[in-house]
Amino acid sequence: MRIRRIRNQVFKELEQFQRDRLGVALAFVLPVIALLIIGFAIRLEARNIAMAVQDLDNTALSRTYIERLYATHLFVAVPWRGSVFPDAIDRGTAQVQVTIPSGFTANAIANHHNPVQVLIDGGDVINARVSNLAIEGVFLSVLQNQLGELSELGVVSQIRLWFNPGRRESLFIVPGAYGVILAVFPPLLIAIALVREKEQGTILQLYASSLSAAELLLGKSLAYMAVGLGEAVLLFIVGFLLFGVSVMGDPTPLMVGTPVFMLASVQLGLIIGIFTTTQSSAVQAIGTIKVLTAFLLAGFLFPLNSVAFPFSVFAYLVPVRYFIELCRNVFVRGSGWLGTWHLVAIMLFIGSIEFGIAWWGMRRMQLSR
Amino acid sequence: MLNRRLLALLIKEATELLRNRQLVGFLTLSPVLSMVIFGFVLNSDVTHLRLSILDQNQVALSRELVDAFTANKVFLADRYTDSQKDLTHQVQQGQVDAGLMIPATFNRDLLGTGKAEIEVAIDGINAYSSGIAKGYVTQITTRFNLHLLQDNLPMGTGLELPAQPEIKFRYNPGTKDSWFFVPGVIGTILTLSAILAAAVEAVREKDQGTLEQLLMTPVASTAILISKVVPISGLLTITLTMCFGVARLIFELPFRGNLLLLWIFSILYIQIGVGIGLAISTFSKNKLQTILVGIFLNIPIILLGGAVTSINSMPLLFRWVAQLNPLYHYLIIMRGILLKGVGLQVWWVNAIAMIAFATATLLVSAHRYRRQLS
Repeated sequence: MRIRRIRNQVFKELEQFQRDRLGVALAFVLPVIALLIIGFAIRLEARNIAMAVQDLDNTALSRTYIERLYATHLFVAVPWRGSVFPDAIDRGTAQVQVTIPSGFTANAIANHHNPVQVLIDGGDVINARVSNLAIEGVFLSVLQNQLGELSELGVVSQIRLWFNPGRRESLFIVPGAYGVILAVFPPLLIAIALVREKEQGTILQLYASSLSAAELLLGKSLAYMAVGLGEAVLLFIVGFLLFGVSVMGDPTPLMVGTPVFMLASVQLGLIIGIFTTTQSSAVQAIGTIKVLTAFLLAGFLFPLNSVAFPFSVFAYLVPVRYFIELCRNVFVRGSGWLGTWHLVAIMLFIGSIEFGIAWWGMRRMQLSR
Repeated sequence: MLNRRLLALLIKEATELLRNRQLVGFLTLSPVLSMVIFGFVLNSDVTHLRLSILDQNQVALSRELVDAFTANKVFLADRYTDSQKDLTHQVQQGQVDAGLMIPATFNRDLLGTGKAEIEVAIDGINAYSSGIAKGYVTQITTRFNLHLLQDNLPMGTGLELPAQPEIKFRYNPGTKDSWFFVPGVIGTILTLSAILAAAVEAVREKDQGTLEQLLMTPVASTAILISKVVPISGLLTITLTMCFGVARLIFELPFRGNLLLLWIFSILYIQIGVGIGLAISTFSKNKLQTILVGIFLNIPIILLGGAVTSINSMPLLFRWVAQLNPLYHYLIIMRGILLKGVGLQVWWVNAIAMIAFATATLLVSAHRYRRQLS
């Protein structure tokens, strides 16, 4: 009895959704285009940082430093524009300026303090951090080489990067992009659908029917979870065909985890749909809550280890975070259930709480009418 | 005469917008709130990486090396293990972010032959953090070696690390992340809000069928358009001003350049967003399509505009595409004024680009909107 009602609700919802053919096409094509753009454009490894070098010393030593700096493959050379305001950094044509003072080598031998001057555009913290680390590293290693001639002594660290030895960018980006895209589109669709019923008043008919709040919510959720799963499968296929990202090892965590994430993701869309009264506010809510958190709070671009305490709480509440982790596990690490079961459990937990909130909101709404 | 009609229409649209309390909240309060939250959360620093340590040597020197790794908060001594297998397993399962393996022969090799190898396994799943972590590992071992060398050199040749560069960060001496990210987040939020609000509000009447009523009234289509655009732009201008004020108060953003210019170009950017939103609404048949396209367009605009990502690291093609992104130009101007304190002499090209964008989007959307009305 109840099952049949939910099933009918799912069919009704899907029927309504597929009536707008262009809308359906957009719902599946736009996520794929988003994946292509993100996959081809976004790079997490710093590269092409514009560096202007002024070598006033012009000796073998100063040239060694310059060579070593470029050997990091981090910097590209840009012309030196002088030091009058606005100089190359002010203009943004250079992000790093290195000045090797005249007499640098002579002073280094005589042990006088006459250091190389490095100026980094601190306004762009990402590139500033990477440049700083690389430049310090170059100077330290040159120093070690020099000292090493006097007395051979040193620890050599063999650094191994796990999982992605060839540093294929698509492996870094694409699994995260799945999460970001799937966190935005399915909840958007369900929120719009729900608010449309409210705006058009057809929701009153649902209230008047014998359909309970839980049945109504389940029916809508399942319908849009199905749409979301369709989008997910399409994204996984495109990711495999175009970016060569395939499942490593056991695929079952993904097969279980994706529907669970869809549940959590779609519930938030439902909550937004329930607590907003117009489509304009629902869309703004999705925009500020879902888009922003998916881009910035889910560990897609930056790791979340460094987030300080009261604010790290926000990051723990975002289900996408766990789904991105899951995708990276399944598509890159291949650690199977052992490394992923807790992610699925947390998403299920968040999803159930969200369902509870949605149910409570829906009941309140039904009674208030 | 026309002005009075326009005024009446403006009042109607403004009241309608203000009556939607939720929307007003989402357009004013939630941007400010998001800016504060993300200003605190967004952090490009890589610290607190969980390190699993396998010290098979267990002598003073190997412990010194472990201390060198965990001294500066980059790595946390998360756990100690006994076997290579465990270490590998922990990195593989993602339980730790890095593993340090010091072999049993470490001390003997180092003092006997002058060379000793250690192994560092880093979880390379996030290219950004693993790249930084790699840099830190190199730096830590090199510093460790330098100290060893210094201790072992005969007296008199004691080198005081002479050739270290003097590195300065201009504009942001403390490399505060918020100074970079807050302008990015402001740009992102303005993009989202302006495009979505304009797009949805513009199709609303089409959807509800009240557009026909509007067409019956004796007002020009331009007036209808203006009355749609102005209230949203006005509201977002208030939001923007609040955002800058709060950013100044909470994050102590320096505001080094011409504030008036910043304000003017921010308003211009809002117009671009509104123009894009209007254009979307005229190209789509119903609300669902408008909303889908509106949300979608935000993804490339935000991610390829340099708000939170680095343009310079992108492939060449997309560095060119960024030039076609209004947010890219707006951020150069905003960060130029806020952090660098540079004026038109530096970013005039970006200013021209923004003016061109504003003109183009508003002309196209106005043209399409009018055609849709007639």
